[in-house]
Amino acid sequence: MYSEQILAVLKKMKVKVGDRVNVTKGKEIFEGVLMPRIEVGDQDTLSIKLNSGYNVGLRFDRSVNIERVGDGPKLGSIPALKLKESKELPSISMISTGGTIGTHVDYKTGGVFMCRSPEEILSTAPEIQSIVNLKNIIRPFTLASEDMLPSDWQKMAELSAKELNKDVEGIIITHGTDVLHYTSYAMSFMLKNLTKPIAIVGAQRSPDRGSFDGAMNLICAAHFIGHSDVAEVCVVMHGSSNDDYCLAHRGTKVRKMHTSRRDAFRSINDIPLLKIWPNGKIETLNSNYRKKSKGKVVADTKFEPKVSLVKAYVGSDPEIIDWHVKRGFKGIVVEGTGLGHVPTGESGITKDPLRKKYSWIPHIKSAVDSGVAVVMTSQAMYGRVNPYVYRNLRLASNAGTIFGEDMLPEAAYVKLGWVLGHTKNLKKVRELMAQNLAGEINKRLDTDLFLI
Amino acid sequence: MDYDEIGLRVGIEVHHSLDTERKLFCSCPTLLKTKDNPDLILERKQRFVAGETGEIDAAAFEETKKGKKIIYEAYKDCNCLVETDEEPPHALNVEALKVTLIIAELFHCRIVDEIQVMRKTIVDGSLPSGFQRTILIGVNGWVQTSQGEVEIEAIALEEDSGRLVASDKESLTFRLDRLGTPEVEVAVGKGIKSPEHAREVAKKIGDTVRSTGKAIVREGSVRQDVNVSIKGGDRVEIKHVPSLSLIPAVIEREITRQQTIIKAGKKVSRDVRKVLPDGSTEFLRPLAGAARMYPETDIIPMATGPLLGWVRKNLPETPEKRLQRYVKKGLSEEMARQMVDSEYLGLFDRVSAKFKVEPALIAGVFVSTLRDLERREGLNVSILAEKDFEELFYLLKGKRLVKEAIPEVLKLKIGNPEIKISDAVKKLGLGGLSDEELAAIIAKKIKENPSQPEGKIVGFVMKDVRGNADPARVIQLTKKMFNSPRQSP
Repeated sequence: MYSEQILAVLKKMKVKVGDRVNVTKGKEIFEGVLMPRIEVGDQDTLSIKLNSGYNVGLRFDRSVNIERVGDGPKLGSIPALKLKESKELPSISMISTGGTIGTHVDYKTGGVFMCRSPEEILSTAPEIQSIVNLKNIIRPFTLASEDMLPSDWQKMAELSAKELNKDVEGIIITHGTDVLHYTSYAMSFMLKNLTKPIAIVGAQRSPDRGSFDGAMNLICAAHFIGHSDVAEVCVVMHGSSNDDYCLAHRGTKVRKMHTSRRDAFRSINDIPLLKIWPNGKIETLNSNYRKKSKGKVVADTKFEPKVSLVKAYVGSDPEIIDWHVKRGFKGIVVEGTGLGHVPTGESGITKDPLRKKYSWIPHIKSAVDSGVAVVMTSQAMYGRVNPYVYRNLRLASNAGTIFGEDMLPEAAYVKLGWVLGHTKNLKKVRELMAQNLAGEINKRLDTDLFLI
Repeated sequence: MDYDEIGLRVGIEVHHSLDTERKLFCSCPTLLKTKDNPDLILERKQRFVAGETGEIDAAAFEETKKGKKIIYEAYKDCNCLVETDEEPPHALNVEALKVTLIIAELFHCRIVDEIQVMRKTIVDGSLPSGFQRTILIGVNGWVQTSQGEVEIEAIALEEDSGRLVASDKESLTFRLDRLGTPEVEVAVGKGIKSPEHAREVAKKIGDTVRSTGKAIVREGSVRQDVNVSIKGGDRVEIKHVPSLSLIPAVIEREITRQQTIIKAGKKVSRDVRKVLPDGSTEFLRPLAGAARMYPETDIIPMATGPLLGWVRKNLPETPEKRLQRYVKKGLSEEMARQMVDSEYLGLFDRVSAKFKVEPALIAGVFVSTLRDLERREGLNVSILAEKDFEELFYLLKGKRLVKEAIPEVLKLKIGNPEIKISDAVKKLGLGGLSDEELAAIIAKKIKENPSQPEGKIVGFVMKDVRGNADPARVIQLTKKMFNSPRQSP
């Protein structure tokens, strides 16, 4: 936003943002289009797009004269792809939720906009129409993924079940990448009797550039839905830094492991299910998956939102557990260290009484005693937690902690919310948390599952 | 020829790479690759939004539409995730910005109050992102020439792109070592009066950029694009004129070419043409419309005001002042002039301030040894980096190397870029002895031959050290030690 001072002058001179203007400052005249002011910039600086295409900032003072010369360029529109019916191809639905993959830059103004219609997303990967018959495109909301709430998962799951029960092979969900994996966990737990696949797809590079990675992800996702026999929730994203193939990761075993790379999404404690090339070639890497079948998909979306994810770290204050109990939380997933440790103050030859006050054990115990489910996972992420190897682990276990096997901390968090949505009985919760509901627990960790 | 009468219009764009510590938008050094084989080969595809061909290079757009594979060769020593389009840009390199502000100031430009990094869509595949980041720094400047003031239309700072090293039906291969190196672009507007005048203007620009001491010295670090039109003809852009001396010939030939077309009653088409070694040109592609440019959303705009005080205090000395200073330092008038014109002047200033070596000796390496290696022996001296020269003069200062051996050492280093200067010295058996080492040998010889005269001792020592010490030094040191009373067993 421009400052009051500038806005007053613009009003007086009848100049609007987007108009073609002449700005005179000192001896110089700058011709161009008056651009909107971004939030972070100095509000007293006029932003002008010169005829050469460059944007420059001119600091406003009393010597500056601004004059309207004419209308500026109209906001560009991107050519939306017209849906065409191709009955011979497998039909799919698409749910578009926002994120980088759903933005476009207006090259004339430089503004970043959310796509006005999901069809606009398709214009970045028109090849899709020759792979599948895109039957339905739905946009329940448009969000940067970090703004999502569990209620959005419920909405998405219900919508997905409704679409899957139509005459389609599966669904592509386009999504911001930051918490894309949380959505894939939630869809995995909430959709029961899954007989068809869901591919969740995002982009790490924006669609304004030639190097947009989302197009290949969409294309591979279309092959995955239309031409594989997997009936699971999968994340389909770049498998390497090249634009060569995508991987379909199991929805409960995938995590964003890099802030910016194309191949940021990795399977943890599991092997990706499929390798998919944009030309349609598909290779099975892990045949342990649910296959397509007949039957009605059910959305079971009951979810307890009073669930939390807490990290135990060196010097951490265990009173965080009490705080959660006091605030009425029903479940806490602890991201412990190593095999699932929390500080206990019990280790070492000399028992330093000072260390005792850092012990999580009494806090966990009192939480469990008051009916709160506490689940232990590991911040190491790779590998399984174990309640027995060390004495400190046994202490945590004795305090009533449920050990979450090889579940990813965030997956355990989503699962606990879903489980608590169905029962508050701690015995039942313990049983369900130990059960493999949607591929989130891998009982057999192969020797080659690390850092793949 | 009366250039006024034929309506000659000439514009020049000079691109010069800057020798900053790191690249424009990441922390990689501005070095070229040092190995032959890339550490990483990436295979990418680029796609551009359809329906906007009017704004982007139609020919190149057709290329990428065909879905050609683009191969990038990346090197661990000079590429990171930023160049490979796997990480957002880091903050703008302020060192490069300061140098560009200095250049804009030297050309009397109006420096913009606030700079905004732009993304310029590039569809030829030379940048993994699909765009080139560029910043307009100053406008409306001028440069004084023998034929009056010539307009400097704009000065921009941009990132260098990858270099095409191979292409075939299926793929294009680009090398990424230079990608991201800061490059200043100086665009000349009105005022060029003749082909010869164009050369003068281009030289002035090059001299000014070099006077900052921050111009990169290596092959391909300067590129001159010339555009030419005459009455009845049209604007034709000639890319990458490799040397100043070729500029007048290129313009003359273009005038003739356009005149021939006009005489034949045909229309001159707005093309981009490529220079051939003899100064003639051939068609490259049609001239693109204005490039599509939009703001780089990953970098916030930056006010130039806070830097201008520093910039005005740090303007480089004029070539005349520099000449006087070099003469005072002990360079001959001739050598000083050559040094002022040399691309190595920044390096010379830094090295001669750092090492207590005769300035004339250092200047000699830059203006004559390197030139000889390049011209007579055809060696690529541009691979020698600042640290190599530092090592060279460090060894020279420590008397670990005699000046006569410099050409041999540099020759070996150029032939084997992976070795250090000190390795080259060793390999040539020139590992000059330090004073301490030499003194130890002399002391040993004196002790072993108590009754021998000084001259004999020198002989024994020389036999032992062979070419590793300067004879004059051996004589001097032996004399000193022979006459000192301290060694009695």
